[in-house]
Amino acid sequence: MNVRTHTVDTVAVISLSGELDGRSTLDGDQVLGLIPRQGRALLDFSDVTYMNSRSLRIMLLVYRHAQASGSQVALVGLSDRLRSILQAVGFLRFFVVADDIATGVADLLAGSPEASATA
Amino acid sequence: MSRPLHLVHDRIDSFPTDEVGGFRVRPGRPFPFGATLVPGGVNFSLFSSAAEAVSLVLFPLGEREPFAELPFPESCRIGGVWAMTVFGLDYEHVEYGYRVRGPAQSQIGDRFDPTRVLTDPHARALSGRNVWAAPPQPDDPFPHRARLTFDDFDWEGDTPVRCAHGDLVIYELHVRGYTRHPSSGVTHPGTYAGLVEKIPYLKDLGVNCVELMPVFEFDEFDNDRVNPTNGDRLMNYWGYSTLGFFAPKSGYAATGRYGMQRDEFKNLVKELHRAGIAVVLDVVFNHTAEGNENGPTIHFRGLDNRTYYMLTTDGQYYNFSGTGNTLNCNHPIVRDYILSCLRFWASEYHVDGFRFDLATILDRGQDGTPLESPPLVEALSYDPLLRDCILIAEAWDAGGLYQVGSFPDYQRWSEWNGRYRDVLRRFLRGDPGTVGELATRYVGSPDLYRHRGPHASINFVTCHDGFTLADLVAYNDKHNEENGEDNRDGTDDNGSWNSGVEGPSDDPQVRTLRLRQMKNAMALLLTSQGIPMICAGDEVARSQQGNNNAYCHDGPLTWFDWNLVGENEELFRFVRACLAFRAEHPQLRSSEHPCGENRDDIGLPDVSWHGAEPWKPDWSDANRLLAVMRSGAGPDGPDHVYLAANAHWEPQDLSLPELPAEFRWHRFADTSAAAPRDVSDPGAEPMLADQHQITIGPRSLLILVGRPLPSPAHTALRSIR
Repeated sequence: MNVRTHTVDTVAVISLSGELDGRSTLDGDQVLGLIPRQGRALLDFSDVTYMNSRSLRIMLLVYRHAQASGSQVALVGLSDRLRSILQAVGFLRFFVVADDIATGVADLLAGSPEASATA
Repeated sequence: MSRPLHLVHDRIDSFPTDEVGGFRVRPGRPFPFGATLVPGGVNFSLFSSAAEAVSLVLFPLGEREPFAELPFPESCRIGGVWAMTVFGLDYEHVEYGYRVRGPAQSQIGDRFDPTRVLTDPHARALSGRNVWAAPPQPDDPFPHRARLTFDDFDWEGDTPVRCAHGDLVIYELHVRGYTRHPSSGVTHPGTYAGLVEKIPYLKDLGVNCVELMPVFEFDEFDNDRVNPTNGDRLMNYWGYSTLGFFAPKSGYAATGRYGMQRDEFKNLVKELHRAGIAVVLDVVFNHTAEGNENGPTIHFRGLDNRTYYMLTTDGQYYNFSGTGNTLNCNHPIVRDYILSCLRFWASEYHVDGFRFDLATILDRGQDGTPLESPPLVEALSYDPLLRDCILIAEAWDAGGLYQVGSFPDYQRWSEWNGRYRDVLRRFLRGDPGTVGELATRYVGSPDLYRHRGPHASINFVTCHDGFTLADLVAYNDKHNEENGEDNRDGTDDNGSWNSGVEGPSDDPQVRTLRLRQMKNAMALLLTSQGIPMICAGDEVARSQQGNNNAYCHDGPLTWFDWNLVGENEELFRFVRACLAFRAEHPQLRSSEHPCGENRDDIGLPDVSWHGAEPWKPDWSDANRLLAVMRSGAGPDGPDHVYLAANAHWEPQDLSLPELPAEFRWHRFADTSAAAPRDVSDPGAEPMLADQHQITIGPRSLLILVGRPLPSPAHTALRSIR
């Protein structure tokens, strides 16, 4: 898994890429370390081609930890397949999902109720 | 971050002590049985009363050949339990099984076969049938492998629905068939996720409990027959042939191919609970998919055959299930297995109850003799985790044991009341000599359940097994030719009547009569004391073209065609109104049988029987009219409900029983009337112009409700508004 970060306005955009299967699982510690405490972060999955169930769980754990730390997190770039899986197992409703980075950043900066909601 | 995101946390025993087959291992923990993710590894635990050697066989995900076989060292055995923790497994890409060797001198009944790799009977997920009807690998010697899965799930505070049993309205459905039809319009047809999308429909209809036909892992290809009319392969569509008792059916999950069927099923339960709908599972503990002597060796047969199956003295399988074998339910080991399985589903999946297929097998001893106090049934009845679960017995089996009304109940069990179904059908058909028994069934079958109360009776007219309601009024005889058995399968005792024409008819009179008969059935069912059960689709007249044993058909014949909701809106509206009516009248759901006395001090007995003249019931064989008045405490004061059911082909004039002075009769339902006058919204029933006389139509049903006259104050207020 590769992780790149950049900042748009004050929002940390954390871009993940690669195939998150058993051999390259989402590193929750790494991602969580990049989310500013009590800040805002957008997790960008545009270049993630596959996620296994363990990575999905870690994604949910990251989200929960970030919220517990007062951070606001949104997701962007979910593939149709990933979105479909998340919807089928009920995980999708836990996340704030934006259509693109610009929208996600704008939502976070606006402090949209959805982005700060506790899942 | 407060702590690292390890899925499990280190323990001092989370380090290997040995090496087997190139894998680091340590003696495992015997409990729980099955495969459990533990710090750094996976704990495998398996029981066999007589095995002499056991190996863990590991396969790469989806591949035919194993990559490792790890014999359990002797240090990994305690008693008959083999337990070993294996470290460093890529557990999302591993499947496993066991190779079990028996003693050289086997006993009669042993069927150890070390040439086979066995499925873990405690597996929480099985692969091999991840996608429904996806072609399996040809000649795969071990098609049903266990998978390692996660237990964690965010239930968001969900708890089982704690609905009073008497308030339940059960809706029996097939997970795949419910949304597989193209007309369903759901995102994931034929799946648990698809069913979630239909929850609004269930709420709108007014049911509060779904009974899911088998969702334990089974093999939909477990059927060798072909459809003689088109040559198509027939299926094991219903799924009454379990492979994995701890594993949800993967092919019912949109995410089964990703190994997330457990999450998807849990989400279904959570969403149903969020809507106030309880979940009952139809479970099959009377037999397994291993069949008779000629069946496949999947798990129990090669693991501990004479423990898990009822065997004759010469080692042959008893066949009380009609499928080739019979699970040895009252052996202590099997009893514990079943109990742990149900505890698992109640605690891990939050299900609210269980319906036991061919449940009288649960009270047979090891030689097949019915036991007066069967240990398994007793254990289930008193289990702490199952305390709030509804337990429902299908109180008969294929060995001729019929225990409707006499199943050992421990004051806990309800039963599918087959006698309710039978008499209601015969009454509707117009058979003579049915009114007296129908009266008994209508008030909760006190002859059968006097000590248990009416909620022991699961009332139903139809279920998955037999005619649908639409076919019950359209066919005299079964039409199972497409099942490939020359129409021999399926019962010949249907209690049905085709309303004059066998099968589909364009005759308006026939169609009107059929619709009326369906309304009659639903109105009787939904006003009867006891717990009603509706077979999914009956509320919109779903037909199976006269097939009364559609277990093998996966197609439009068995799928719920959602176009029917619009096409048969009149029946849907009628059923929905009856469900709302039931909800509004607590006396219809009372936990006590009526006694015929003025129990609630409202001036009338809690039940009274009538005929063409009030207080003069006719119990003679020739009579085909049942009239009953129920009086009891309602939410807003005294409640009076009068039902008259006329199975005669002629109309009859009825004199109505007199209500207390301040009450008047209002018409809730009249199945002889054209829609929309056939039924009213509860609370909006029109008052009868004639409070003393009414005519009931041929083969029709009337439901009246006694409502108090508006008080002068209310009347004045209404006129001001």
